[in-house]
Amino acid sequence: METLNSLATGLWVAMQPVNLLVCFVGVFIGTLIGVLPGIGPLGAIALLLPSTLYVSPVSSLIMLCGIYYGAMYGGSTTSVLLNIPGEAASVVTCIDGYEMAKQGRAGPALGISAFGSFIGGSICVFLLAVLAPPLARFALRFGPPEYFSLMVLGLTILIYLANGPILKALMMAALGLILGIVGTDTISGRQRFTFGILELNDGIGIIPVVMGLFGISEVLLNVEKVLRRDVLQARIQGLLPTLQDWKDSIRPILRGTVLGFFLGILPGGGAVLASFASYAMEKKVSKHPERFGRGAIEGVAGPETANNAATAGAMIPLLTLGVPNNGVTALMLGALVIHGLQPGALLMKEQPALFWGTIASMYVGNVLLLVLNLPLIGLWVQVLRVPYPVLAPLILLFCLIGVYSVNNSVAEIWFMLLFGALGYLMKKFEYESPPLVLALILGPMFENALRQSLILFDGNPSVFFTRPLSALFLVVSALLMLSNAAPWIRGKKRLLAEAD
Amino acid sequence: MRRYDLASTLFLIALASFVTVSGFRLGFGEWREPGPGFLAVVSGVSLGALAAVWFGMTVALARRPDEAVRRFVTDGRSLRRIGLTTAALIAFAVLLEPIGFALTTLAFMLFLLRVIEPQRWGFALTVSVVTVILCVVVFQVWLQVQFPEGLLSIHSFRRWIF
Repeated sequence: METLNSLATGLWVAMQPVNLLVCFVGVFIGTLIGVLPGIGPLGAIALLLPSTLYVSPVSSLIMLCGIYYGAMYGGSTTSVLLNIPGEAASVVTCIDGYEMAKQGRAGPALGISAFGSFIGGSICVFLLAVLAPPLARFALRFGPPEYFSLMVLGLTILIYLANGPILKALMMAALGLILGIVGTDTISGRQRFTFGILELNDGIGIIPVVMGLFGISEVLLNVEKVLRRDVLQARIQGLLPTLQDWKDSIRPILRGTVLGFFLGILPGGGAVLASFASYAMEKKVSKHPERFGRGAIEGVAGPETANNAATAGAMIPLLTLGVPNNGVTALMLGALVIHGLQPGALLMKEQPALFWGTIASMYVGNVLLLVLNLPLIGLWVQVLRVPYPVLAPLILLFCLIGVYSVNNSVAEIWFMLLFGALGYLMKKFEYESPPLVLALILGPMFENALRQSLILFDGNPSVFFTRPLSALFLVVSALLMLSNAAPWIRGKKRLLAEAD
Repeated sequence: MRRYDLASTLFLIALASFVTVSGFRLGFGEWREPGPGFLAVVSGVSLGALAAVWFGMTVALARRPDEAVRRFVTDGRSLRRIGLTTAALIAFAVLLEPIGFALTTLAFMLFLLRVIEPQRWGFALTVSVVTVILCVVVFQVWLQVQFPEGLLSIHSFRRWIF
């Protein structure tokens, strides 16, 4: 009952005109970003982070969530019409979605994606509302050692998610921690690594870093090879799926909802894994698996529902524990920190409007997504025809304006360009950005929790292992690292043996 | 990739050494009361150790004969596009305050639309002008961002005239 009351309050917050507007802007921009190959949700959120400074924290989070699930939906449009996924979670939609488009059924493919995303997203909002409060109450027992270990777990999760070698991801996390040290030490008041630059006294801003690493570097990589794309020329008609389409899709939608939500909560899960797992599951349970890959609507309905459901699942660790489990939620954490909020156990208690407003807005956002996307598919097709050489200068200009507008400072532009160059080199040298960004965001909190723990417990580092919850987080971190490192070490051993 | 790994890890080892030494200078403190350089030392040592391990492994693994040497940039045209785009970004940062937002943005858009993949002059000019107008309306008028006015400021006009 308490949950329903809170959800009703959240719905009231989400329905405020300003929040409705930012939710609309979020899902619209998210869909647009999802439609455009070359910019993922991570880049989009990075680009839009400065604009969230003009609104309240709750509006800011509502907009970022809208971008996140909007991008998940938008990605399906390019998968179906171009056979190019707008973002990674829509890769699997290409298989049957594009086949359906070639058979003249692009409309039902896009339609079932929208309905599936809506149904999955809506059910998951209720699951989120039910599961989040007990988890947040549990997290109230945390002291500095638990917070320190939890942040170690958060960093481990992003390192675990890294596509490349674990050592490189660890190096980037260490580099992020070093960047997080820059600025004035809160305990002693001493300047650290500021080199006399006034703008560094408050530390390196999150916005120039993420816009440089994800925005500028991405454009530099894309202008290297000018993207060409051929949009399906046939007219898209009949967006509403037929009765038979619904019969074929409803079970995949429901299975995708549950699977996506729980995979979204898990560290290392997220939308990409959810969509692939859903496709594999549908193919396995289907009476006609041979239809998959030849335009089976189940192959679109399941994965598209699952990737949207996973976005709701991913909000649980962020909102209740303050631990992001992927790059996008790491940036959302950054947005909350920019607004002076501390995501975690106390968020629900201290900021109920923000907590419940965000959850309820996800339902509102799903309605908007459905209303927005079905009539606007024609517009998205037109957007797809904008050539990248025209788009690239606009993205760069948006980065420049965005970062300048934060403090009206040219220094911020220089920082962004520096991190843009760093991001470009990191991609060339195969180092990943998300562990660096998360370490930079968590760095100051990480340092405070570590120093407070050591001061409180007389400099005894064993406190991290003797307190049960802290020990649990560290054990989970160690297991994650081992599970990630084991196959890699085996591979290196084999290579070393071959070299001998 | 081998060459890139060697170069990048050497750079990271140098950076980690600098951070560790600076951390000690800032004050490591003691376990009971960690100083302002405590985390710098811990992170610096960790980064250095990790980079050294990766460097060692890369040296130990001799390049396989079948491993292709990857080029940093695919061809000369790509390099030219990246160079010009970077130059445009740097020029924007340098010129924003002296020349002002509107003129810098116009020049930036026009330049990039002509160099990434040359668009027709008419099209490039139209897109650039429309972008400047939209940016001024949305950011300067609506969101109240205070961009430098530069040469187009009223003050500059007065100086020119009188």
